[in-house]
Amino acid sequence: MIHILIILLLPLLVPGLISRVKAIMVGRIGQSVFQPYFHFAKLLRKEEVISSSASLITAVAPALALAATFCAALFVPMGNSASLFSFKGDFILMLYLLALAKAFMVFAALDSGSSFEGMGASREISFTAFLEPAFLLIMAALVFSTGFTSLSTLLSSYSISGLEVWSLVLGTITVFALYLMLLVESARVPFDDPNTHLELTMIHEVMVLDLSGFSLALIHYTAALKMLIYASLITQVLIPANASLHLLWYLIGILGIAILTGLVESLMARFRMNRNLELVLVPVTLSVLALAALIARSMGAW
Amino acid sequence: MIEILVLVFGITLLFASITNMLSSIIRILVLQGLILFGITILKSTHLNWLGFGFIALETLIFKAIVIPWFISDTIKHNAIHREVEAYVSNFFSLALMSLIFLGSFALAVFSGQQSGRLFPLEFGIAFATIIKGLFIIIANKKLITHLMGYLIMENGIFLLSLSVGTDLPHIISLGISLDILLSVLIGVLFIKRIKSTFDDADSPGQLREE
Amino acid sequence: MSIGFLILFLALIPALWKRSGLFAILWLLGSGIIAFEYLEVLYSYSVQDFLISFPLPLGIANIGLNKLSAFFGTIFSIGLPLGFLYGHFYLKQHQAPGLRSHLFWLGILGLSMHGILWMRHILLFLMVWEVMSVSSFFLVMHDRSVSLKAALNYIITMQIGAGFLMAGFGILYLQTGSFDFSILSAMHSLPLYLLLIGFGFKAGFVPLASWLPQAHPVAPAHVSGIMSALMVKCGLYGILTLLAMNSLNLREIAVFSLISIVTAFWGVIHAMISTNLKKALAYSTIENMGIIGIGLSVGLLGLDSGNPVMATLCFAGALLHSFFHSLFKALLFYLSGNILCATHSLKADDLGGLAKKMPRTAIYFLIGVIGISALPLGNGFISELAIYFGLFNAISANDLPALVMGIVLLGMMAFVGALALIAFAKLFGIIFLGEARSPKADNACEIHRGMRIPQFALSIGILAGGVFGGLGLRFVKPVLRWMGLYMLPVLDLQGIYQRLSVIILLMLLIFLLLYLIRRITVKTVKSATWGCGYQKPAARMQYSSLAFVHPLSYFLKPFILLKKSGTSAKSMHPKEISYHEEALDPFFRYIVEPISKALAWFYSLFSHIHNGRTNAYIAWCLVFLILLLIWVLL
Repeated sequence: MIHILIILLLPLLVPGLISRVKAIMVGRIGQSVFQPYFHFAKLLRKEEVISSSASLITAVAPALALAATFCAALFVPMGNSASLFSFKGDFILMLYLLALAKAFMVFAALDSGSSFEGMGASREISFTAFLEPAFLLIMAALVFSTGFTSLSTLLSSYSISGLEVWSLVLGTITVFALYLMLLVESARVPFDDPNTHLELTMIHEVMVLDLSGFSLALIHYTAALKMLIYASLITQVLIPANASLHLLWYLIGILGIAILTGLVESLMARFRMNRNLELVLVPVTLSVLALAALIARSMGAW
Repeated sequence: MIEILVLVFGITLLFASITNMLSSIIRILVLQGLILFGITILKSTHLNWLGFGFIALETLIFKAIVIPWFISDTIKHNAIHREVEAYVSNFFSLALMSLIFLGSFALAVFSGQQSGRLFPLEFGIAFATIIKGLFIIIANKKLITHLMGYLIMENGIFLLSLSVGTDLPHIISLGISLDILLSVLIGVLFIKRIKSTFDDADSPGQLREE
Repeated sequence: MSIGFLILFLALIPALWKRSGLFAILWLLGSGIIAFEYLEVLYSYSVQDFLISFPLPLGIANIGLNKLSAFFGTIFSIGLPLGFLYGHFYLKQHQAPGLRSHLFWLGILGLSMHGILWMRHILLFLMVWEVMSVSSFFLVMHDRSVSLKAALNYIITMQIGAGFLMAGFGILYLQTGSFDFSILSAMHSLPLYLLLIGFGFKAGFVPLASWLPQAHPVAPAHVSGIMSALMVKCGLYGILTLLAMNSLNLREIAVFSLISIVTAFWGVIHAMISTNLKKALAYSTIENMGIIGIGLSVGLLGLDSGNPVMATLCFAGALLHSFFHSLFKALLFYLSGNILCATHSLKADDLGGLAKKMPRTAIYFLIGVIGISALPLGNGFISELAIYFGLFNAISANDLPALVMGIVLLGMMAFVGALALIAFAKLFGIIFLGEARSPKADNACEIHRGMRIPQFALSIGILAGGVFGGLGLRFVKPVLRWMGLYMLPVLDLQGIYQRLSVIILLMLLIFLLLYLIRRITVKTVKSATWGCGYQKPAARMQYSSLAFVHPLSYFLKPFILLKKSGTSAKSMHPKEISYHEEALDPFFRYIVEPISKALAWFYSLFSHIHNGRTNAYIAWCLVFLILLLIWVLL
């Protein structure tokens, strides 16, 4: 089915597209858009080097992270307006499955016994502290406007139409908050630089320093899948429910978000680390504003 | 259309919490002036040339052009350091901003249920702007930032007068604009006068509370 | 029922003869029989209700169970024997004088905890409550060298709490003239507040919980586990009994939810910055009580605003969480006992790399961490999911107070949950992963198999509850029906839990598949940690626990009272520098300590009376008699 195919095949295209856009922006030709696929295949063939400090956790964590992210992706509508699994309130499960994946990645990082990984793990998990409330408050705004149902129903019944001004405004705020969450969770500039492993940018890339081969391939795929999940959420908020050619609009949306991320990465510098931690509160404030405005409008005098 | 403008007005307050540069706050003031111009034009049901001219003078000319020019001129002349020096970190001002939004919208809905002639969205954002302006005055070191916080507060009061259901009475807007004009004039002239009087002493760019 | 309790009373005999093994076995047997009877009361129409007439002034006492007592009774009869079994093996490793009395008081504590659930007469209830407090005081004092001060603080705090209970019950007796529990329904506000505060002392809500982080860390591991997992549930039982028989108005619900939010937040930030494992677990108990309080307050709001779906979901979540918390908190405390036995240290910064030395302990700890951080696979997720469902129902309703409270509680609960994950990821990572930071951890080895049996049972319980959420819901259903709540959302929730089980089993399947593929096809080579090319890593260079939470602690500093002390480098070649940081409890330091100092000063004014000379004492008696004579004559 379309959904499984998208989950299996599409994720690695997104980082490839982002790298290509970044290369073009600085005047290079850059690697092929399909390079992450070749990289994935190469990693599968290599042997793994395991640190002598590692315990069973390093062996277990990448597989569990991938399994959790995969199951989270099953709840997100991709390609059309229904997801593979859905039940009322499944977005909470999706959020916590992503948290489970992140927790095991943090354990794998601490397992290697190096302070660099510890640094990355501590910063990564601190960002989660503010993104979980932000996501649930965004979902609360959607629930308030359309009722408490499953994620795919929420996204499809929340339609943005040019005629109704309110939906446009709130859709914009929601999409902006979700996009900030995408940037933080996939460790993109301005929150983290995925190209370097230096101390200044040690968040996501540094947690996987001591993984190699099969495990590293799984981790790359998991990170790309997480980015695809957030990009799908943004795209599905923007696409109206009864659009024909839903799949085409969906693919355009995903590729558009990838290109946009490449542009943002090329045009902005990474923020200072302390400032990152402060800025990660912005999605929360945005969602509180959207929610408060929604409530004021529906219960107000006019 | 009005609602979009009001929500963008609210988002500018968010920018005021994030930014570290004085020039950004001046740009926020310009944007707020333009938005207020748009809102008043869209809200006025009957308009003659005199009313239109007056509103344009007050919002567009004063708030969006003259006053920000005054302030940026003062900053350049007195070589005031370009950073906003705050007592609290951006994190707490963002967290406080969330609480302010929640609180002012709760107040707006509550008052709306009581009186019934209120536009809750404008009321909520206006009240949030007033509190935010007050917070900027409290939480920053520099004198020039205090002035900008006061101006944001005045913008909020202006929006508040729009949120009550009657048509814009000219007396209120006259009072507000006089208020703003005098305060800006006094503030700016005060700073300029200090520089010229105490030319050999510390520059007014270091005028701040410690 | 009498057979079970008879066996439990008989268990005191081997306790007095220091036969802890027989004691534990008798408790297992007796609790099994009692659990069966409790479940019968819970699920069928069988009733256990006795009227016993006592000599005056007690009068006729009603001793019996209702569904709520049966629910908590089942929790106790699962948790207590496992705790005593663990205690048997633990006490063998940690020999200390006073084993005879320790086992005796363990038996008394267990019996009194069961007794509280049966007493429906306020004087008998208070008597058993006092027995529970006193017996736990003696248990905490097992190792007198470290625990005396904390144990004394504990017993005095419990007596103050019991004082509030007596005041509340006293007012009710004066108003109604009866001692029976039926006077608890439809109370006035003053006795209700006094009783809630009295039970709040035991349950661990925030201004009243200073005793928890002091008493639980110094008690032996099995006692900490029993106290943290089960005894605070006695306070919760009291609060639930009151709430089931009274209704609160909106203002009171708002105050209750505010206290719960502050409790949860307070507990979790102190758990984050604690480096001592047991202290972090004690603060985490406070946090979980806060989460249960959040669930209860939203449920009460649902009852008050006429939204029955919200009420049912949140009460179900709160009850589930109290059951599940007893499982994972007990497991984590028992594992801390393991760590103490193997390494003689509970400071996270001294440990590290224990996963290679104590693999089974590490796996159980991981399961406990998954449970307590409410990650899917663990049962904490099941209960928090129910509370989240209730909150989202509050948001989709059309009632302004429910909306505002729903939004605030949703944001705070998600935030507290994320912080709890950080706190426990820190504990697991620093203690078990990486390399050993000190010789203490280097010399650790896996402990005796017997200590692992109760931990194995609890881990299985956590995983089973997490994967098959419907089991927990079935356990809670009779209590919800007894409270008169609307039962349709429970069917809804059951269906959702079934689908949840499918997804979790799918996730485990995919994980096993990938793991087996890796195991079979991938060749591995062992080498030193690469760490981006750093040539000479040392074990003490690893991230420490305070460094791990540093990015967030910067924002949490205003909420924590830190006492810092140290010497800084004085010259160009400093010999020694030191830094000591400690998080203090502001309630204890600024409220309790000044009051006790003032009281001590006041009493010291009368110290002249105590001078040891008999003549002085007789002189005082004479003065008193003369004053009495004057007073009578006037």
